Amino acid sequence: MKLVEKAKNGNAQAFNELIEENKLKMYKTARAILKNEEDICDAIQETLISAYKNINKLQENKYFSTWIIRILINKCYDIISKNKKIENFTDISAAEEVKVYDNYDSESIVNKVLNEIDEELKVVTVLYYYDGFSVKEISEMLKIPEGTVKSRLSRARDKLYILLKREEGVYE
Amino acid sequence: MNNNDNYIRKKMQEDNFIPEKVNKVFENFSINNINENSNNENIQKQNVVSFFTYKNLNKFLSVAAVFLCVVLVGMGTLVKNKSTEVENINIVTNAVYIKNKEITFSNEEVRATSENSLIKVSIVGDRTIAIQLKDKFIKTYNLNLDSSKQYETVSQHKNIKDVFVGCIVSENTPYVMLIMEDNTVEYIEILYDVNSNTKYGFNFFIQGNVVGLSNVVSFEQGSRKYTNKEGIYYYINAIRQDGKKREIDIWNYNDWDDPTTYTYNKLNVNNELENNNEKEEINNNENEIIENNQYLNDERYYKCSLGKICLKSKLDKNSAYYIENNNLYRNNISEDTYTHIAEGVDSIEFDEENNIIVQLKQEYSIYLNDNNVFFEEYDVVANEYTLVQNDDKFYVFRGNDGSIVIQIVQGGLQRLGLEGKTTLKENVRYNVVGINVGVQNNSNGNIYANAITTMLGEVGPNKILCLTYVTLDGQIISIDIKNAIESNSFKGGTTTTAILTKDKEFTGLGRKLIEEKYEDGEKIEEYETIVVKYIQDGEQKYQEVVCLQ
Repeated sequence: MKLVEKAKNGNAQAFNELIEENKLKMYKTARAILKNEEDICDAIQETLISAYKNINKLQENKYFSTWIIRILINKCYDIISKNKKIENFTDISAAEEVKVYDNYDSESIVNKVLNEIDEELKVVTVLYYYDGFSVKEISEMLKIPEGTVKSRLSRARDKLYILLKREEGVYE
Repeated sequence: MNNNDNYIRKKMQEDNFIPEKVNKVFENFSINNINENSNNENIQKQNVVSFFTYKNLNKFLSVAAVFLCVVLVGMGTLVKNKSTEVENINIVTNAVYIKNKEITFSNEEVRATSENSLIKVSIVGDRTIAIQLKDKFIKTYNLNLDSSKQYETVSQHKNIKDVFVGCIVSENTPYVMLIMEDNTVEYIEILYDVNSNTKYGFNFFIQGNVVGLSNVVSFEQGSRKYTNKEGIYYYINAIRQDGKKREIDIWNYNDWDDPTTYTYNKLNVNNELENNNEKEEINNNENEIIENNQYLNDERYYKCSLGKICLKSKLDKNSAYYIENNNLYRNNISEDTYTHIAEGVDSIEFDEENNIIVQLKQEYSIYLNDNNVFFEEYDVVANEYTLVQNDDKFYVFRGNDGSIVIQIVQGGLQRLGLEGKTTLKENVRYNVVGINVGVQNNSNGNIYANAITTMLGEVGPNKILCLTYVTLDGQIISIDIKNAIESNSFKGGTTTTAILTKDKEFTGLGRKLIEEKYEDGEKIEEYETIVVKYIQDGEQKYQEVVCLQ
């Protein structure tokens, strides 16, 4: 928590260390919401700027991770909203997105598996299994009832398990 | 479950990969951050950088590329037919990205095959099957797929002994049933898999064990006419080594010893009671496939001690129900007692979740709430309804024609503080009555809402529980649920909050966090509410739904 306090006092090195600690979580979360790398880069970049500008407003130092992931999620959804108007140009963008997924498929088994579960399950899955947030924290972050978080996790669990096992078999 | 959780968590946390491009965002930020001594200057610099985001750069490059392409295509038209170029683009964009490996094999490798008019499935290895979608399936669902290709799907845990292709519900919804090495059954939902993530691809996926089915040696396709509407219902029977058959219910536990069979067909108990002469058939035809829904053969019925033909609850094995002179009674089987639940009852049936649905007449009285039973008002019958949303105390259903039905769940009136303040009842499903324009008359002359989409939830800073729906002609109508219940009709307290004109492309209802702020940016309050989402002048916009008290 000392790092957060230092970062609040303008210590850039401390802020960098906090980001270093959280960067995998940030990437995994953005990856679960957004479909291409450029958008993920944008969301992370805007989140870093916003967090750096506003870290003084963080009331409880221990919630730094939750706080920055929440900012990131908002940025991701902002980008999705902005992109919606672009989706009308489906001829170009759809082809591009499929290409991007090709690249991601070679990236890691986990991402490959995540591509195969429903969109709404991905974020909850990553926040819970990767980032280690509790159901209650996820509920607050995503502004959805705890029951919804639980049911999404339940839906994701069995499918993920089998898909991961399958991928293990493929790559053995 | 814990083992699965631990395994998934472990696998996910093993993955520490961050793409180089994303890593550079962190690195660049880090370098900039440290090099700047002044926070303000740093922030300013970062803000300037943020205008040149990866996406913007990409867009810039895309525009340049498109410009270049246009020039090239323009040049190309001098020597090539333009329409050919367009066709090529369409082929790329509409292609479905297949994740199952395409598979080729020799005839010698095929161990067993099953097919119908929609798909063909072959066993080509101990744990490997090949799925081929036929032209009829591809045309029926307008897919851009190649019927000559076969896709590999692999069982992870068990060898596959036999395969059967059949349909459940409709003749166009194929299912693959697999008999595994231990004579249990696993299945693939072809249509569900094809429809999942269609934009980015799909994956045929063995969904796992059909719970309860063991010692299965074969399957058979069955069908029967619906009794209350046109059409045929399709089902698959599993057949055991001793010849016993059971209609497969992939969603629930399949108990070989439970005589209850799974069906969506509506049954009219009154008719049955009038047909006592045919009762003998019940015992004579126990194991036959019921082709034309001769409900008298249906094993769900139980002869109660008073000589009544009772319908057994699927959720509570100790309860059975019967109608006599339009009264509904419950039989407690173990205690052999009877309770009068309601009068003014027309018929009873099962819904998809195995609740017993009681169709009420225009005049009715409900004396007792019963957890196995839901009542439908007399005019909530014209359509098939699908549960579209529920919170713990209110269910919203939408009919095929756009009509909406609300059910107040037990405890719903208490939650709103309306106990004793309304004639509406819990566990009864009511039609939502349409207002002004955007309504339709059904054959009963009643006016129903005609919604293309609905959303139930809290609205505004006062958190009013509100049902919002969008009509076919673009009206947004909201109903304050509490106000409506107090007014004894789901029409009261309605208001039109927005009209979607031609310049607004409606994209759906949604929930959005609204932050109200002073001009200096300080937050006044924050609340989540229902919004109408639409695109106008190329921009995604939102309008908050208003639900007047």
